[in-house]
Amino acid sequence: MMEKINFVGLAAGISSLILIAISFFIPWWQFTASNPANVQVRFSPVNFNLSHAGVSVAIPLVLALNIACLLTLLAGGIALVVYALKPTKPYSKQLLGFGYKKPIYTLVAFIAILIALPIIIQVFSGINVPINSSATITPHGSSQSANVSTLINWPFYFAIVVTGLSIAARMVHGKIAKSAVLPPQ
Amino acid sequence: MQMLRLVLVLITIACIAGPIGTVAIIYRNNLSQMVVTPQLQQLFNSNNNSNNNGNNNNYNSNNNNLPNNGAPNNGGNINNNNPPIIGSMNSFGGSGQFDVTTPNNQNAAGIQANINCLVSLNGNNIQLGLDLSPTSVPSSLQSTFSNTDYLFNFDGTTSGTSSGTQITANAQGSLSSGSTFNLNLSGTIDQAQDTLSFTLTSAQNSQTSITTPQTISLHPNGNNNNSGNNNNGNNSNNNYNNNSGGGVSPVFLSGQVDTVHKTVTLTFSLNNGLSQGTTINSMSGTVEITADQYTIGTVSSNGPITIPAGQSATITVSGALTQNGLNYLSDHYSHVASLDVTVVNGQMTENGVTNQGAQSQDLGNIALSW
Repeated sequence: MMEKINFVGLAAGISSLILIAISFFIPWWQFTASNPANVQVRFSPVNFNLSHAGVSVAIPLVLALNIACLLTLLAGGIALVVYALKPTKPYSKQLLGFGYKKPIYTLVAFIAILIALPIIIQVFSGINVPINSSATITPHGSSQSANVSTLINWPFYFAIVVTGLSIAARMVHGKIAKSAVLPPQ
Repeated sequence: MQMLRLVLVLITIACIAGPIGTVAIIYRNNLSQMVVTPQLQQLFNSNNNSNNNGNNNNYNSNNNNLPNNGAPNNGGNINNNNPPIIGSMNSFGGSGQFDVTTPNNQNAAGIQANINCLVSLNGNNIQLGLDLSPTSVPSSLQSTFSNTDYLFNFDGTTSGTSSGTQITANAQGSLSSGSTFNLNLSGTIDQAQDTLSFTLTSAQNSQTSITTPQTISLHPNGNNNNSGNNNNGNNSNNNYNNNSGGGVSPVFLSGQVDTVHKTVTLTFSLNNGLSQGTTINSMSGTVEITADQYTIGTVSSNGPITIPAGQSATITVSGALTQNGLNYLSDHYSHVASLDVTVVNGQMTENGVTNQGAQSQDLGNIALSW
C-alpha cells in the first residue's frame, strides 16, 4: 500500500525553504532615501541591510535576530517536509505543530515591525515614513528635506502564500489522520 | 513522544537563544554596541551635524580653512555647554600636543592633533571654536578619541595689554562617551594678530582632563578672514553652509550682474572632504540687492555635478535679471560698477537631500556691468 503524503504540507515545507533562500537576497520591504540613495534599508526576516552613502552599517543584535529567524524557519520547513512525507506516523503531529507555526510567527512579527517602525520614527523624529509609497519628508525643526520611497516586494506576498499553505497543511492533516484510523471498506 | 516534544522545544530555544547569546557574549563588555555600533553612532553624529542650523554651521564653513582641509567636521562627538561661535571670525591653524586622561585611563597620554581655531570678538567678550583633528592617538585612548574632529566651544573675556589681547576662556560639556570636561584656556593674540598662543588646563572636576604640556601657537589660515573684503565673503559663505547636508561646503568665488544680457551669474567652489564621491544635484536661490532688499532675479545651477572624494569643483548658478530688477538697477545703480548682493531662499540638493536656506546669505560685492 502506498504511503500517504500530505501534499499541501509538502508544498508548505518546500516553499518555506524557498522563502528563506529568496528572502536572503530579495528584501520583503525596502526603504530608500533620496536618489542616489543616501540611506537604504533592505529588510526581510532573514536579512537586514542598512547602508548609508553606499557603506553598509551592521547592527549585531539585528544580525543575531536574522540568524535566529533563519534557523527557526529552516527547522520549521524541514519539520514540515518530514511530516508531509510521513503524515500518519505517531510523531507526525508533533512535527506539524512545530513546523506550521514558524511562517505564521515570522509573518506576524514582520508585519508588527513594519507597522510599529514608522510610528516609532514618527514619534521620535517627527518624520512620517510611508510603508509602501513615496514621499518628501522633512524632520520637525529642520530645513532639510529628502525624497523617500518605500516598497513592499513580492517575497512578502510569497510569505503570505507560504503561511496560508502552512495553515492549510494543518487543516488537511485532520482529514489524513481521520482516514488513517478508518478501517478499509 | 515526550522526548520528541522536548527535542523540538530545545531546537526552538537553540535557534533563538544561540545567535543572540553569541552576540551578547561577543559584546559583553559593552552591550550597547550590540545595537548602537560605533559605525552607527558616527552616522547619527554626521546626520545631527547636517541638521544643525545657524551658528553651529558657521563653524562648518570655516572648515575650509582647516589644516587638514576637507576632513568632515564632526563636532557631534562633543556636547558643548557653551553655544556655538557666532559673528565675524578670525581663523587660526596649526598643530600641537594635548595630554589627556579619561576615567578609563588615568595615566596621561599624548594626542597629536591638527588645530583650527575660530575666534569671534565682541567687545571684551570672546568666543573660540577650538577644533582638534587628532593625527596620532595612543591605543589607550582610541576607545574615546578617533580620527574625527572634536569641537570645543569656549566662552571668555579679553583684556588689552602691550603684548596683545589676553584671553581667558572656559569650555564645559561632555564627550560622546559621557565623561565630562571642564577646560580653561589662557591665551594671547599678538598685536599684529598673526599669532594665537594658548595653553589649556582642566578643572579638577573634569572626568576627562585635557592639558597642553607646552604653549601652542597658531597662525592665521591661508584663507584668512582678517583681510578686509574677505570678511564679508566668508561670512556669507558661512551662512550658505548652514545648509550643507553632506559635508560639501560651497564657498562663494565671484559673481556678476550683466545688465546687457540681463543675467545674474554666481560662481561657487565646492570642496568634497568626504571619503566618497558626492553629487550636487542642484543649487538655487533668489538674488537681492543687499542694501534695499530688492529682488533682481533667481539663479539656479545647470544639471547635477559629481565631485569625487577629496576633490574640488566649481559650480555656476545663473539666471535671468528680471525686468523690474533691471529697471531698479538703472534707476538707482547706473553709476556704479559693483553692488552688494544677498542670496535668499538658498537651496542646495546634495545626493538628493535638499537643504533649504534658513536665512539670507550676503555674498558681498559683485561686479555690475552696463
